[in-house]
Amino acid sequence: MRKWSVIGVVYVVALILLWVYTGRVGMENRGFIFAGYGITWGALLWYAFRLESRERTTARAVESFEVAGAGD
Amino acid sequence: MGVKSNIEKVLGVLALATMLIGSYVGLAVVPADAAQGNVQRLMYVHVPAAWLAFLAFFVVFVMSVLYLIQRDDRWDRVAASSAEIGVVFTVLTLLLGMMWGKPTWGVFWTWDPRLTTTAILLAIYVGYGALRSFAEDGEKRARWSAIVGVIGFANVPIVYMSVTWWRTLHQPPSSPRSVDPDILWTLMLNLAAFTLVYLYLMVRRVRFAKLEGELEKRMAYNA
Amino acid sequence: MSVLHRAWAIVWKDLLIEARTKQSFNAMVFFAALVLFIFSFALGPDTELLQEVAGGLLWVGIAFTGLLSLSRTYQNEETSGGLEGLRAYPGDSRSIYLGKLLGNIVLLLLVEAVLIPAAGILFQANLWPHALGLAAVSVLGTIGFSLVGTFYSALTVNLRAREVMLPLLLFPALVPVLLGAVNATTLILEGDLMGEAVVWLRVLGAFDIIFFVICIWIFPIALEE
Repeated sequence: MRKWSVIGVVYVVALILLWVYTGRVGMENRGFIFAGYGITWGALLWYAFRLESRERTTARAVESFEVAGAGD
Repeated sequence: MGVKSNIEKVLGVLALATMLIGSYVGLAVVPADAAQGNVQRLMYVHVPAAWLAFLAFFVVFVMSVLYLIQRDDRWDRVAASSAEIGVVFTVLTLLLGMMWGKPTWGVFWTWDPRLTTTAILLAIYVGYGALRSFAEDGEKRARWSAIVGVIGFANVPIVYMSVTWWRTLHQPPSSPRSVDPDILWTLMLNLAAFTLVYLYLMVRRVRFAKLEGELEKRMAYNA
Repeated sequence: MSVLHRAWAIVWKDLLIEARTKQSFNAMVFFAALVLFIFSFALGPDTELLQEVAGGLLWVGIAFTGLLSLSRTYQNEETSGGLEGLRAYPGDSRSIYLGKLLGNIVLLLLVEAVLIPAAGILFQANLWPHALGLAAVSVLGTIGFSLVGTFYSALTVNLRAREVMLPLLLFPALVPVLLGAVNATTLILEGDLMGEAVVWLRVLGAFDIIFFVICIWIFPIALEE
C-alpha cells in the first residue's frame, strides 16, 4: 500500500510541474489542457489502484475459505 | 506462473514508459497546432481514449459471440474485464472531448455523431454492467450479458450512421496526408501507449476475474 | 410452417384476453394521453413551438407507453405459472417470440391509432394530408420498438430490479428507431419538400430487418433455463 502513497505523491508533483510549465510557456487555455492530461493520468492510476485493492481483498477472502475448509 | 507474471511486469513497465513519453512529447516537444493552438494537444489523449473505448467494446462483442457458441467461462471473464476497462476509457473520452470542446466550440457538449455515439456506447456499457450485477447465477449472468454484448455492439454502427445523418459538427476524420507528420507520429505514439495500458489492465483484470470466480465457487460450496 | 401456426396461436390468445379485459389498452391510451397533455403544459401555449416539436413529443409518448405494455408482455404467462409451461412447450421457442412480438405490435399500433389524431388536436396540426407518410413511420417505428422491446422483456423477466433494467437496456438500443421516427415524422409534418423523410424510413427499415434477424436467432438462448 505504501507503493500507492508514493505514486500519489509523484502524481501530485507532476500536476504541479505541469501547471507551472503551462504557465511559463504561456499556453492559452492552460486550464483545459491541464485538466485533460491530469484527468487522464488520474483516472488510469485510480483504476489500477482500485484493481489492486480488489485483488488483495478477494485473495484474502479466498485464503480464508481455504483455511476454514481445511479438515472438511 | 513465473513466465506469466514476467510478461505482466514487462507489459506494465512498457505501458508506463510509453505513456510518460507520449504525454511528454504531446505537451512539451511537439509544437502547437497552427490553426487550433495548444488546445489541440488534448487530441493526443482524447483520440487514443476514444479508439480504446470502441476497441474494448469490440472485444466484448467478440468474446460474447465466442461465449454463446462455446459456453466457456474464459470468454465471459475476458468480456466482463474489457467492458469494465472500456467504461473507464469511454468516460475519459467524453470528459476529454468536453475539455477540448469548450475552448474550441464554446460549448461543453454538442449532438454531433461521434460524441453522441460515444455517449450511447457508455449507456450500453452501463446497462451491461448493471445486468451483471443484478444476475446472481453465474451461468445466467454470462449468457445474458453475452446477449446484451452482441446486440449492443450490433447497434453501434447503426447509431453512428443515424446520428451522422442527423447532425454534422464534428471534424471529419482527418486523412494522414493533410496532417503534419509531427502531429501524426505523436498521435501514433500515444495510441500505442494507451493500447499497452489497455493490454496491461486487461491481463490483470482477467486474472482478477478468475480469482473472483474462485471465490464464488467456494462461497457456493460452503453455503 | 408450424412455427408460424404456434406464433399465431399465442397472438390470438393474448389478443383475445386483451379484447375481453381491455386491461392494457385502456391503461396505455390513458397514459399516452396524459404524457402528451403534460408535455403541452410544460412547453406552454405557444402553438408554433408545439408544432415544431410535435414529432419528438409524439414519439416520446409512444416510447413510454410502449414501455408500459412491454413489461407486461409475459405477465399473462407469469401469473398463471405459465412461463415454465411455455419453456417446456414442445417445438421452437422462436414461436413464442414471434407471437409476443406480433401481439405487442398490434397493441401498440392500436394505441397509436388513437394517440396520433389526439396529438393532432392537442398540437393543432392538420394530419390528414400526411396520413400515408405518418402511417408508414408509425408502422416501421413500432416494429423496431417492439422487436427490441419484446426481446429484452424476455431477458429481464427473471431479473431483479427489472423495472429499471428494461428501460436501461432498451433505450440505448432504441436510439436509431427514435431518431428515425422523430425525424421522419417532423419532416413529413413540415411537408418534406426535399424528400428527406425517405432516408429516415430506410434507416427504420434497415434497423427492423437487422434486428429481426438477430433477435429471432438469439431468442432461444435468452429463454434457456
